[in-house]
Amino acid sequence: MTTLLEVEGIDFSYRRGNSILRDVRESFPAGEVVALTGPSGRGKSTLLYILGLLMVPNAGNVRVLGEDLAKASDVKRAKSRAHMYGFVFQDAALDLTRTVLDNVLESTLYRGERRRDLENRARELLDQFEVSVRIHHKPGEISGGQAQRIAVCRALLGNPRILLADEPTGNLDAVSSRIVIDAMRHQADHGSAVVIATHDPSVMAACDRRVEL
Amino acid sequence: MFGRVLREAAAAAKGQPVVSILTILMVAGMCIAVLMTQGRAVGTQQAVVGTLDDAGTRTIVVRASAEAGLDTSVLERLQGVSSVADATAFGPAVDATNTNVPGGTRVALRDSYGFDTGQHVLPGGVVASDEALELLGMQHPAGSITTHEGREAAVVGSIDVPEELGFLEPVLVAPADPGTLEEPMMVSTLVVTATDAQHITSLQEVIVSVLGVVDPEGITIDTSAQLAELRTIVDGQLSGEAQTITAAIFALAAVLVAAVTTALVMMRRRDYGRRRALGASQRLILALVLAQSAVLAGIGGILGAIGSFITLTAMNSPVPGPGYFAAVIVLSVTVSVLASVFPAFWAARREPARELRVP
Repeated sequence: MTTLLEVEGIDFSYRRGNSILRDVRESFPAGEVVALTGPSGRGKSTLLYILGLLMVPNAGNVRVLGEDLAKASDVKRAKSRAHMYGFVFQDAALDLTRTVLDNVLESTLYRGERRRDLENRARELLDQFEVSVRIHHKPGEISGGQAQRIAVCRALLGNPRILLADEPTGNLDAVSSRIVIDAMRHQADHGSAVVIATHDPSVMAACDRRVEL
Repeated sequence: MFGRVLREAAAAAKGQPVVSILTILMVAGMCIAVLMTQGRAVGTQQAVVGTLDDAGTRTIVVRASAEAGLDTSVLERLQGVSSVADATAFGPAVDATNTNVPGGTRVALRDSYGFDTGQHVLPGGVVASDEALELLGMQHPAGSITTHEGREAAVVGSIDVPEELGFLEPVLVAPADPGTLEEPMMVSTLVVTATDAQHITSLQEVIVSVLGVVDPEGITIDTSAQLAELRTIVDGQLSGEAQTITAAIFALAAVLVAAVTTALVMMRRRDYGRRRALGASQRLILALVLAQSAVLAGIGGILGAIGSFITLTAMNSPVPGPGYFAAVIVLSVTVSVLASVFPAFWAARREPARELRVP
Protein backbone atom coordinates (compact mmCIF):
# COMPACT_ATOMS: atom_id res chain seq x y z
CA MET A 1 0.00 0.00 0.00
CA THR A 2 1.24 3.50 -0.78
CA THR A 3 2.40 5.44 2.23
CA LEU A 4 0.64 8.77 2.12
CA LEU A 5 1.82 10.19 5.40
CA GLU A 6 4.91 9.42 7.39
CA VAL A 7 6.57 10.89 10.46
CA GLU A 8 10.10 10.22 11.57
CA GLY A 9 11.98 11.28 14.69
CA ILE A 10 9.25 13.65 15.84
CA ASP A 11 10.07 15.49 19.06
CA PHE A 12 7.75 18.04 20.54
CA SER A 13 7.55 19.96 23.78
CA TYR A 14 5.64 23.08 24.73
CA ARG A 15 7.69 26.10 25.69
CA ARG A 16 7.83 25.55 29.42
CA GLY A 17 6.60 22.01 29.60
CA ASN A 18 8.03 18.55 29.52
CA SER A 19 8.57 16.71 26.31
CA ILE A 20 5.23 15.53 24.90
CA LEU A 21 6.46 13.49 21.96
CA ARG A 22 9.87 11.89 21.63
CA ASP A 23 11.24 10.23 18.51
CA VAL A 24 7.85 9.27 17.10
CA ARG A 25 8.03 7.21 13.91
CA GLU A 26 4.93 6.09 12.10
CA SER A 27 3.64 5.69 8.61
CA PHE A 28 0.06 5.88 7.45
CA PRO A 29 -0.66 4.06 4.23
CA ALA A 30 -3.60 4.50 1.93
CA GLY A 31 -6.59 2.37 2.82
CA GLU A 32 -5.80 2.10 6.54
CA VAL A 33 -7.69 3.58 9.48
CA VAL A 34 -5.31 4.19 12.38
CA ALA A 35 -6.33 5.08 15.93
CA LEU A 36 -4.05 7.26 18.06
CA THR A 37 -4.80 6.19 21.59
CA GLY A 38 -3.48 6.64 25.08
CA PRO A 39 -4.29 8.53 28.27
CA SER A 40 -4.98 12.24 28.23
CA GLY A 41 -1.89 14.42 28.00
CA ARG A 42 0.20 11.90 26.08
CA GLY A 43 0.11 13.96 22.90
CA LYS A 44 -2.58 12.34 20.74
CA SER A 45 -4.00 15.63 19.57
CA THR A 46 -0.54 17.17 19.36
CA LEU A 47 0.64 14.40 17.06
CA LEU A 48 -2.55 14.72 15.05
CA TYR A 49 -1.95 18.44 14.56
CA ILE A 50 1.68 17.79 13.62
CA LEU A 51 0.48 15.20 11.10
CA GLY A 52 -1.94 17.82 9.81
CA LEU A 53 0.83 20.41 9.38
CA LEU A 54 -0.90 22.62 11.93
CA MET A 55 1.98 22.47 14.38
CA VAL A 56 5.69 22.43 13.73
CA PRO A 57 7.65 19.78 15.64
CA ASN A 58 10.85 20.66 17.45
CA ALA A 59 12.57 17.99 15.42
CA GLY A 60 11.73 15.36 12.87
CA ASN A 61 10.11 15.04 9.47
CA VAL A 62 6.52 14.95 8.32
CA ARG A 63 6.45 13.48 4.84
CA VAL A 64 3.33 13.92 2.76
CA LEU A 65 3.55 11.74 -0.35
CA GLY A 66 7.28 11.59 0.25
CA GLU A 67 7.83 15.33 0.62
CA ASP A 68 8.94 16.64 4.00
CA LEU A 69 6.65 19.51 4.91
CA ALA A 70 7.36 19.74 8.65
CA LYS A 71 9.15 23.04 8.31
CA ALA A 72 7.83 24.16 4.94
CA SER A 73 6.56 27.71 4.46
CA ASP A 74 3.13 28.66 5.73
CA VAL A 75 1.82 29.00 2.19
CA LYS A 76 3.03 25.54 1.21
CA ARG A 77 1.63 23.87 4.32
CA ALA A 78 -1.68 25.70 3.90
CA LYS A 79 -1.85 24.60 0.28
CA SER A 80 -1.22 21.00 1.29
CA ARG A 81 -3.90 21.16 3.96
CA ALA A 82 -6.37 22.59 1.49
CA HIS A 83 -5.70 20.05 -1.26
CA MET A 84 -4.58 16.88 0.56
CA TYR A 85 -6.25 16.93 3.95
CA GLY A 86 -9.63 16.69 5.52
CA PHE A 87 -10.13 17.54 9.19
CA VAL A 88 -12.85 16.56 11.64
CA PHE A 89 -12.66 18.27 15.01
CA GLN A 90 -14.13 17.16 18.30
CA ASP A 91 -16.82 19.83 18.40
CA ALA A 92 -17.42 20.13 14.65
CA ALA A 93 -16.02 23.70 14.63
CA LEU A 94 -18.61 25.04 12.25
CA ASP A 95 -19.01 28.72 11.46
CA LEU A 96 -22.11 29.63 13.44
CA THR A 97 -22.83 32.69 11.32
CA ARG A 98 -23.09 30.78 8.03
CA THR A 99 -25.54 28.21 6.71
CA VAL A 100 -24.91 24.49 6.68
CA LEU A 101 -24.24 24.59 2.93
CA ASP A 102 -21.80 27.49 3.33
CA ASN A 103 -19.94 25.51 5.98
CA VAL A 104 -19.59 22.45 3.79
CA LEU A 105 -18.37 24.57 0.89
CA GLU A 106 -15.97 26.69 2.97
CA SER A 107 -12.80 24.91 1.90
CA THR A 108 -13.44 25.62 -1.80
CA LEU A 109 -12.17 29.13 -1.10
CA TYR A 110 -8.86 27.78 0.16
CA ARG A 111 -8.47 25.40 -2.77
CA GLY A 112 -9.25 28.15 -5.25
CA GLU A 113 -12.25 26.20 -6.54
CA ARG A 114 -15.46 27.74 -7.74
CA ARG A 115 -18.16 27.27 -5.16
CA ARG A 116 -20.88 26.45 -7.66
CA ASP A 117 -18.77 23.65 -9.17
CA LEU A 118 -18.95 21.74 -5.90
CA GLU A 119 -22.41 22.65 -4.76
CA ASN A 120 -23.93 19.47 -6.15
CA ARG A 121 -21.33 17.30 -4.44
CA ALA A 122 -21.96 19.16 -1.18
CA ARG A 123 -25.68 18.46 -1.50
CA GLU A 124 -24.98 14.79 -2.25
CA LEU A 125 -22.79 14.47 0.83
CA LEU A 126 -25.38 16.18 3.03
CA ASP A 127 -27.98 13.84 1.60
CA GLN A 128 -25.76 10.84 2.23
CA PHE A 129 -25.28 11.91 5.84
CA GLU A 130 -28.98 12.65 6.25
CA VAL A 131 -28.67 16.36 6.96
CA SER A 132 -29.76 17.67 3.58
CA VAL A 133 -33.04 19.09 4.89
CA ARG A 134 -31.08 21.56 6.96
CA ILE A 135 -28.81 23.10 4.35
CA HIS A 136 -30.05 26.66 4.77
CA HIS A 137 -30.11 26.50 8.56
CA LYS A 138 -27.40 27.90 10.77
CA PRO A 139 -25.40 25.45 12.92
CA GLY A 140 -27.03 26.87 16.04
CA GLU A 141 -30.35 25.46 14.87
CA ILE A 142 -29.21 21.84 14.57
CA SER A 143 -28.17 19.09 16.98
CA GLY A 144 -24.59 18.20 17.92
CA GLY A 145 -24.83 14.94 16.01
CA GLN A 146 -25.98 16.70 12.88
CA ALA A 147 -23.23 19.32 13.28
CA GLN A 148 -20.59 16.63 13.41
CA ARG A 149 -22.00 14.93 10.32
CA ILE A 150 -21.87 18.31 8.56
CA ALA A 151 -18.24 18.62 9.65
CA VAL A 152 -17.58 15.22 8.07
CA CYS A 153 -19.23 16.41 4.85
CA ARG A 154 -16.96 19.46 4.91
CA ALA A 155 -13.90 17.24 5.40
CA LEU A 156 -14.89 14.89 2.59
CA LEU A 157 -15.89 17.55 0.05
CA GLY A 158 -12.42 17.82 -1.47
CA ASN A 159 -12.02 14.01 -1.47
CA PRO A 160 -8.88 14.26 0.70
CA ARG A 161 -6.03 11.76 0.52
CA ILE A 162 -5.47 12.16 4.25
CA LEU A 163 -8.33 12.40 6.73
CA LEU A 164 -7.56 13.40 10.31
CA ALA A 165 -10.08 13.37 13.13
CA ASP A 166 -9.70 14.54 16.71
CA GLU A 167 -12.14 12.75 19.02
CA PRO A 168 -14.79 12.88 16.30
CA THR A 169 -17.36 10.96 18.34
CA GLY A 170 -16.65 12.63 21.66
CA ASN A 171 -20.05 14.28 21.99
CA LEU A 172 -22.16 12.01 19.84
CA ASP A 173 -24.81 9.40 20.45
CA ALA A 174 -24.30 5.86 19.23
CA VAL A 175 -26.13 6.34 15.94
CA SER A 176 -24.22 9.48 14.97
CA SER A 177 -20.95 7.87 16.07
CA ARG A 178 -21.63 4.91 13.82
CA ILE A 179 -22.34 7.16 10.85
CA VAL A 180 -19.12 9.10 11.38
CA ILE A 181 -17.00 5.98 11.79
CA ASP A 182 -18.55 4.37 8.73
CA ALA A 183 -17.77 7.49 6.70
CA MET A 184 -14.12 7.31 7.70
CA ARG A 185 -13.93 3.64 6.94
CA HIS A 186 -15.50 4.31 3.55
CA GLN A 187 -12.97 7.04 2.83
CA ALA A 188 -10.08 4.70 3.67
CA ASP A 189 -11.56 2.03 1.42
CA HIS A 190 -11.39 4.56 -1.38
CA GLY A 191 -7.67 5.07 -0.95
CA SER A 192 -7.25 7.63 1.79
CA ALA A 193 -5.17 7.37 4.95
CA VAL A 194 -7.32 7.99 8.01
CA VAL A 195 -5.94 8.87 11.43
CA ILE A 196 -8.24 9.24 14.43
CA ALA A 197 -7.20 10.48 17.88
CA THR A 198 -9.70 8.83 20.23
CA HIS A 199 -10.56 7.51 23.64
CA ASP A 200 -13.66 5.77 22.39
CA PRO A 201 -13.35 1.96 22.50
CA SER A 202 -15.94 1.54 19.76
CA VAL A 203 -13.89 3.76 17.46
CA MET A 204 -10.70 1.90 18.34
CA ALA A 205 -12.44 -1.35 17.56
CA ALA A 206 -13.39 -0.08 14.11
CA CYS A 207 -9.81 0.90 13.24
CA ASP A 208 -7.29 -1.32 11.44
CA ARG A 209 -4.43 -0.45 13.77
CA ARG A 210 -3.72 1.39 17.00
CA VAL A 211 -0.79 3.63 17.79
CA GLU A 212 -0.46 3.82 21.58
CA LEU A 213 1.12 7.00 22.92
CA MET B 1 -9.61 35.19 -6.35
CA PHE B 2 -9.88 38.86 -5.38
CA GLY B 3 -13.62 38.85 -6.02
CA ARG B 4 -14.02 35.64 -4.02
CA VAL B 5 -12.13 37.11 -1.07
CA LEU B 6 -14.29 40.23 -1.25
CA ARG B 7 -17.49 38.16 -1.31
CA GLU B 8 -16.26 36.02 1.58
CA ALA B 9 -15.37 39.17 3.53
CA ALA B 10 -18.81 40.63 2.82
CA ALA B 11 -20.45 37.39 3.96
CA ALA B 12 -18.34 37.37 7.12
CA ALA B 13 -19.37 40.98 7.79
CA LYS B 14 -23.01 40.05 7.30
CA GLY B 15 -22.57 37.24 9.80
CA GLN B 16 -21.42 39.69 12.48
CA PRO B 17 -24.11 42.37 12.26
CA VAL B 18 -23.41 44.15 15.53
CA VAL B 19 -19.72 44.70 14.94
CA SER B 20 -20.33 45.46 11.28
CA ILE B 21 -22.97 48.09 12.03
CA LEU B 22 -20.70 49.59 14.67
CA THR B 23 -17.84 49.85 12.18
CA ILE B 24 -20.11 51.31 9.51
CA LEU B 25 -21.46 53.87 11.96
CA MET B 26 -17.97 54.85 13.08
CA VAL B 27 -16.73 55.35 9.54
CA ALA B 28 -19.93 57.16 8.55
CA GLY B 29 -19.50 59.38 11.62
CA MET B 30 -15.92 60.08 10.64
CA CYS B 31 -17.00 61.09 7.13
CA ILE B 32 -19.82 63.24 8.45
CA ALA B 33 -17.46 64.94 10.91
CA VAL B 34 -14.99 65.69 8.14
CA LEU B 35 -17.56 66.78 5.58
CA MET B 36 -19.68 68.87 7.94
CA THR B 37 -16.67 70.76 9.28
CA GLN B 38 -13.81 70.75 6.86
CA GLY B 39 -15.99 69.82 3.91
CA ARG B 40 -18.02 72.92 4.54
CA ALA B 41 -14.84 74.97 4.90
CA VAL B 42 -13.54 73.51 1.67
CA GLY B 43 -16.88 74.29 0.01
CA THR B 44 -16.51 77.88 1.16
CA GLN B 45 -12.92 77.93 0.04
CA GLN B 46 -13.85 76.56 -3.35
CA ALA B 47 -16.56 79.18 -3.67
CA VAL B 48 -14.24 82.03 -2.63
CA VAL B 49 -11.36 80.87 -4.78
CA GLY B 50 -13.79 80.22 -7.63
CA THR B 51 -14.96 83.81 -7.41
CA LEU B 52 -11.40 85.09 -7.23
CA ASP B 53 -10.52 82.88 -10.15
CA ASP B 54 -13.15 84.48 -12.35
CA ALA B 55 -11.72 85.96 -15.49
CA GLY B 56 -11.84 89.45 -13.97
CA THR B 57 -9.21 88.49 -11.44
CA ARG B 58 -7.04 86.97 -14.11
CA THR B 59 -7.22 89.95 -16.43
CA ILE B 60 -4.54 92.48 -17.32
CA VAL B 61 -5.68 95.57 -19.20
CA VAL B 62 -3.11 97.56 -21.14
CA ARG B 63 -4.15 101.03 -22.29
CA ALA B 64 -2.06 102.72 -24.90
CA SER B 65 -2.13 106.34 -26.09
CA ALA B 66 -1.90 107.02 -29.80
CA GLU B 67 1.75 108.09 -29.32
CA ALA B 68 2.67 104.80 -27.68
CA GLY B 69 2.48 102.96 -31.00
CA LEU B 70 0.93 99.70 -29.75
CA ASP B 71 -0.34 97.61 -32.64
CA THR B 72 -1.94 94.23 -33.34
CA SER B 73 1.41 92.49 -33.81
CA VAL B 74 1.52 92.18 -30.02
CA LEU B 75 -1.17 89.47 -30.27
CA GLU B 76 1.17 87.30 -32.32
CA ARG B 77 3.93 87.72 -29.75
CA LEU B 78 1.59 86.80 -26.88
CA GLN B 79 0.58 83.55 -28.59
CA GLY B 80 3.80 81.92 -27.47
CA VAL B 81 3.29 82.74 -23.77
CA SER B 82 2.02 79.67 -21.93
CA SER B 83 0.38 81.57 -19.07
CA VAL B 84 -1.87 83.49 -21.48
CA ALA B 85 -5.35 82.03 -21.77
CA ASP B 86 -6.70 84.71 -24.10
CA ALA B 87 -5.66 88.05 -25.60
CA THR B 88 -7.88 90.58 -27.32
CA ALA B 89 -6.98 93.95 -28.75
CA PHE B 90 -9.27 96.89 -29.41
CA GLY B 91 -8.65 99.86 -31.65
CA PRO B 92 -9.28 103.44 -30.57
CA ALA B 93 -12.90 104.33 -29.86
CA VAL B 94 -14.75 106.20 -32.60
CA ASP B 95 -18.09 107.88 -31.91
CA ALA B 96 -21.01 106.41 -33.83
CA THR B 97 -24.72 107.16 -33.96
CA ASN B 98 -27.76 105.42 -35.33
CA THR B 99 -27.85 106.24 -39.03
CA ASN B 100 -31.61 106.68 -38.78
CA VAL B 101 -31.33 109.07 -35.83
CA PRO B 102 -29.02 111.85 -36.92
CA GLY B 103 -27.71 113.69 -33.89
CA GLY B 104 -28.66 110.78 -31.64
CA THR B 105 -26.69 109.49 -28.70
CA ARG B 106 -23.10 108.66 -29.54
CA VAL B 107 -21.72 105.25 -28.70
CA ALA B 108 -18.10 104.12 -28.95
CA LEU B 109 -17.29 101.87 -31.89
CA ARG B 110 -14.14 99.84 -31.58
CA ASP B 111 -12.40 97.56 -34.04
CA SER B 112 -11.53 94.36 -32.22
CA TYR B 113 -8.87 91.76 -32.92
CA GLY B 114 -9.20 88.29 -31.42
CA PHE B 115 -12.53 88.98 -29.73
CA ASP B 116 -14.96 86.08 -29.80
CA THR B 117 -18.44 87.46 -30.48
CA GLY B 118 -19.96 83.99 -30.44
CA GLN B 119 -21.37 84.51 -33.92
CA HIS B 120 -20.20 84.87 -37.48
CA VAL B 121 -19.94 88.51 -38.44
CA LEU B 122 -19.25 89.43 -42.05
CA PRO B 123 -16.55 92.05 -42.69
CA GLY B 124 -17.98 95.50 -42.21
CA GLY B 125 -20.60 94.30 -39.75
CA VAL B 126 -20.70 95.30 -36.11
CA VAL B 127 -22.24 93.80 -32.99
CA ALA B 128 -23.65 95.88 -30.17
CA SER B 129 -24.01 95.43 -26.46
CA ASP B 130 -27.54 95.68 -25.05
CA GLU B 131 -26.65 98.98 -23.44
CA ALA B 132 -25.37 100.32 -26.77
CA LEU B 133 -28.52 99.17 -28.58
CA GLU B 134 -30.65 100.98 -26.05
CA LEU B 135 -28.63 104.20 -26.40
CA LEU B 136 -28.82 103.95 -30.17
CA GLY B 137 -32.59 103.52 -29.94
CA MET B 138 -32.55 100.08 -31.54
CA GLN B 139 -35.04 97.57 -30.16
CA HIS B 140 -33.33 94.75 -32.03
CA PRO B 141 -29.77 94.30 -33.24
CA ALA B 142 -30.64 95.39 -36.76
CA GLY B 143 -29.92 98.67 -38.42
CA SER B 144 -26.88 100.70 -39.25
CA ILE B 145 -24.56 103.11 -37.56
CA THR B 146 -22.50 105.97 -38.87
CA THR B 147 -19.34 107.29 -37.32
CA HIS B 148 -18.56 110.96 -37.15
CA GLU B 149 -15.89 110.21 -39.78
CA GLY B 150 -18.65 109.06 -42.12
CA ARG B 151 -17.95 105.32 -41.88
CA GLU B 152 -21.17 103.33 -42.11
CA ALA B 153 -21.65 99.81 -40.83
CA ALA B 154 -24.51 97.36 -40.37
CA VAL B 155 -25.49 96.23 -36.87
CA VAL B 156 -25.84 92.46 -37.28
CA GLY B 157 -25.98 91.12 -33.77
CA SER B 158 -25.80 91.71 -30.07
CA ILE B 159 -23.25 90.57 -27.55
CA ASP B 160 -23.06 89.99 -23.82
CA VAL B 161 -20.02 91.94 -22.77
CA PRO B 162 -17.87 89.77 -20.47
CA GLU B 163 -17.37 91.06 -16.96
CA GLU B 164 -13.69 91.72 -17.53
CA LEU B 165 -14.54 93.99 -20.51
CA GLY B 166 -17.23 95.85 -18.65
CA PHE B 167 -15.15 99.02 -18.72
CA LEU B 168 -15.77 99.22 -22.49
CA GLU B 169 -19.54 99.56 -22.10
CA PRO B 170 -21.54 100.80 -23.94
CA VAL B 171 -19.79 99.48 -27.00
CA LEU B 172 -20.13 98.61 -30.65
CA VAL B 173 -17.58 96.06 -31.78
CA ALA B 174 -16.33 95.59 -35.31
CA PRO B 175 -14.58 92.22 -35.14
CA ALA B 176 -11.64 91.41 -37.35
CA ASP B 177 -9.38 88.38 -37.58
CA PRO B 178 -5.86 89.58 -36.73
CA GLY B 179 -4.45 86.86 -38.99
CA THR B 180 -6.03 88.40 -42.07
CA LEU B 181 -4.71 91.92 -41.59
CA GLU B 182 -2.46 93.17 -44.34
CA GLU B 183 -0.58 95.35 -41.90
CA PRO B 184 -0.64 95.80 -38.10
CA MET B 185 -3.45 98.03 -36.87
CA MET B 186 -3.29 100.58 -34.10
CA VAL B 187 -4.44 99.31 -30.72
CA SER B 188 -5.61 101.41 -27.79
CA THR B 189 -6.63 98.64 -25.41
CA LEU B 190 -5.14 95.22 -24.95
CA VAL B 191 -6.93 92.75 -22.66
CA VAL B 192 -4.92 89.70 -21.63
CA THR B 193 -6.41 86.89 -19.51
CA ALA B 194 -4.01 84.68 -17.57
CA THR B 195 -4.52 80.92 -17.23
CA ASP B 196 -4.32 81.28 -13.46
CA ALA B 197 -4.61 84.23 -11.07
CA GLN B 198 -1.30 83.19 -9.54
CA HIS B 199 0.47 84.10 -12.79
CA ILE B 200 -0.71 87.68 -12.88
CA THR B 201 2.45 89.32 -11.56
CA SER B 202 4.85 87.36 -13.72
CA LEU B 203 2.61 87.72 -16.77
CA GLN B 204 2.52 91.46 -16.35
CA GLU B 205 6.31 91.54 -16.69
CA VAL B 206 6.14 89.36 -19.77
CA ILE B 207 3.53 91.59 -21.37
CA VAL B 208 5.61 94.70 -20.81
CA SER B 209 8.52 92.99 -22.53
CA VAL B 210 6.54 92.05 -25.66
CA LEU B 211 4.51 95.22 -26.17
CA GLY B 212 7.00 96.60 -28.65
CA VAL B 213 5.84 100.19 -28.21
CA VAL B 214 7.54 103.35 -29.37
CA ASP B 215 6.76 105.38 -26.28
CA PRO B 216 6.47 103.36 -23.02
CA GLU B 217 5.29 106.50 -21.26
CA GLY B 218 2.02 106.22 -23.16
CA ILE B 219 1.23 102.83 -21.63
CA THR B 220 -0.78 102.18 -18.47
CA ILE B 221 -1.38 98.70 -17.09
CA ASP B 222 -4.24 97.67 -14.78
CA THR B 223 -4.04 94.30 -13.03
CA SER B 224 -5.79 92.53 -10.21
CA ALA B 225 -2.54 91.55 -8.53
CA GLN B 226 -3.95 92.30 -5.09
CA LEU B 227 -6.85 89.97 -5.61
CA ALA B 228 -4.47 87.30 -6.87
CA GLU B 229 -2.44 87.73 -3.71
CA LEU B 230 -5.61 87.49 -1.63
CA ARG B 231 -6.49 84.28 -3.44
CA THR B 232 -3.16 82.73 -2.51
CA ILE B 233 -3.62 83.74 1.13
CA VAL B 234 -7.22 82.42 1.34
CA ASP B 235 -6.31 79.19 -0.43
CA GLY B 236 -3.28 78.53 1.75
CA GLN B 237 -4.99 79.40 5.03
CA LEU B 238 -8.11 77.34 4.52
CA SER B 239 -6.18 74.37 3.13
CA GLY B 240 -3.78 74.34 6.08
CA GLU B 241 -6.56 74.40 8.70
CA ALA B 242 -8.59 71.81 6.82
CA GLN B 243 -5.68 69.42 6.64
CA THR B 244 -4.91 69.67 10.35
CA ILE B 245 -8.47 69.08 11.56
CA THR B 246 -9.11 66.36 8.98
CA ALA B 247 -5.95 64.56 10.04
CA ALA B 248 -7.08 64.72 13.68
CA ILE B 249 -10.52 63.29 12.86
CA PHE B 250 -9.05 60.49 10.77
CA ALA B 251 -6.50 59.66 13.48
CA LEU B 252 -9.26 59.36 16.07
CA ALA B 253 -11.33 57.22 13.73
CA ALA B 254 -8.32 55.01 13.01
CA VAL B 255 -7.91 54.31 16.73
CA LEU B 256 -11.62 53.43 17.05
CA VAL B 257 -11.62 51.20 13.97
CA ALA B 258 -8.47 49.45 15.21
CA ALA B 259 -10.14 48.85 18.59
CA VAL B 260 -13.32 47.44 17.04
CA THR B 261 -11.42 45.26 14.58
CA THR B 262 -9.20 43.95 17.37
CA ALA B 263 -12.28 43.07 19.40
CA LEU B 264 -13.76 41.41 16.32
CA VAL B 265 -10.78 39.16 15.61
CA MET B 266 -10.44 38.27 19.28
CA MET B 267 -14.06 37.16 19.36
CA ARG B 268 -13.65 35.25 16.11
CA ARG B 269 -10.21 33.75 16.71
CA ARG B 270 -11.62 30.23 16.72
CA ASP B 271 -12.98 30.91 13.26
CA TYR B 272 -9.59 32.00 12.04
CA GLY B 273 -8.10 28.87 13.60
CA ARG B 274 -10.65 26.76 11.73
CA ARG B 275 -9.96 28.56 8.48
CA ARG B 276 -6.24 27.97 8.91
CA ALA B 277 -6.83 24.28 9.60
CA LEU B 278 -8.96 23.93 6.50
CA GLY B 279 -6.26 25.38 4.29
CA ALA B 280 -6.29 29.17 4.54
CA SER B 281 -2.80 30.64 4.51
CA GLN B 282 -1.86 33.46 6.85
CA ARG B 283 -1.86 35.73 3.82
CA LEU B 284 -5.44 34.82 3.00
CA ILE B 285 -6.61 35.46 6.58
CA LEU B 286 -4.86 38.81 6.43
CA ALA B 287 -6.62 39.61 3.16
CA LEU B 288 -10.01 38.52 4.55
CA VAL B 289 -9.77 40.76 7.61
CA LEU B 290 -8.56 43.73 5.58
CA ALA B 291 -11.20 43.18 2.89
CA GLN B 292 -13.91 42.99 5.56
CA SER B 293 -12.67 46.27 6.97
CA ALA B 294 -12.58 47.83 3.50
CA VAL B 295 -16.12 46.67 2.67
CA LEU B 296 -17.54 48.07 5.91
CA ALA B 297 -15.57 51.31 5.60
CA GLY B 298 -16.74 51.69 2.01
CA ILE B 299 -20.37 51.35 3.05
CA GLY B 300 -19.84 53.70 6.00
CA GLY B 301 -18.03 56.21 3.80
CA ILE B 302 -20.77 56.26 1.19
CA LEU B 303 -23.52 56.57 3.81
CA GLY B 304 -21.60 59.35 5.56
CA ALA B 305 -21.09 61.20 2.29
CA ILE B 306 -24.76 60.92 1.33
CA GLY B 307 -25.85 62.06 4.81
CA SER B 308 -23.47 65.00 4.75
CA PHE B 309 -24.52 66.05 1.27
CA ILE B 310 -28.19 66.01 2.22
CA THR B 311 -27.53 67.91 5.46
CA LEU B 312 -25.27 70.53 3.86
CA THR B 313 -27.78 71.07 1.07
CA ALA B 314 -30.68 71.33 3.53
CA MET B 315 -28.71 73.83 5.62
CA ASN B 316 -27.92 75.81 2.48
CA SER B 317 -24.24 75.53 3.36
CA PRO B 318 -21.44 75.48 0.80
CA VAL B 319 -21.02 71.93 -0.52
CA PRO B 320 -17.55 70.83 -1.57
CA GLY B 321 -17.12 69.37 -5.05
CA PRO B 322 -17.65 65.67 -5.87
CA GLY B 323 -13.89 65.18 -5.90
CA TYR B 324 -13.73 66.11 -2.22
CA PHE B 325 -16.51 63.64 -1.36
CA ALA B 326 -14.74 60.90 -3.31
CA ALA B 327 -11.45 61.72 -1.60
CA VAL B 328 -13.04 61.52 1.85
CA ILE B 329 -14.57 58.11 1.05
CA VAL B 330 -11.28 56.78 -0.33
CA LEU B 331 -9.42 58.18 2.67
CA SER B 332 -11.94 56.58 5.05
CA VAL B 333 -11.42 53.19 3.44
CA THR B 334 -7.65 53.63 3.46
CA VAL B 335 -7.57 54.71 7.10
CA SER B 336 -9.82 51.80 8.12
CA VAL B 337 -7.73 49.27 6.23
CA LEU B 338 -4.52 50.63 7.72
CA ALA B 339 -6.07 50.61 11.20
CA SER B 340 -6.97 46.95 10.67
CA VAL B 341 -3.49 45.81 9.69
CA PHE B 342 -2.36 44.97 13.22
CA PRO B 343 -5.53 43.02 14.18
CA ALA B 344 -5.39 41.29 10.80
CA PHE B 345 -1.84 40.12 11.47
CA TRP B 346 -2.95 38.94 14.88
CA ALA B 347 -5.80 36.97 13.32
CA ALA B 348 -3.51 35.49 10.68
CA ARG B 349 -1.13 34.20 13.30
CA ARG B 350 -3.74 32.27 15.28
CA GLU B 351 -2.55 28.72 15.87
CA PRO B 352 -5.30 26.33 14.79
CA ALA B 353 -4.17 23.73 17.29
CA ARG B 354 -4.62 26.14 20.19
CA GLU B 355 -7.88 27.65 18.98
CA LEU B 356 -9.61 24.41 18.02
CA ARG B 357 -8.71 22.31 21.02
CA VAL B 358 -11.62 21.45 23.27
CA PRO B 359 -10.59 21.53 26.92
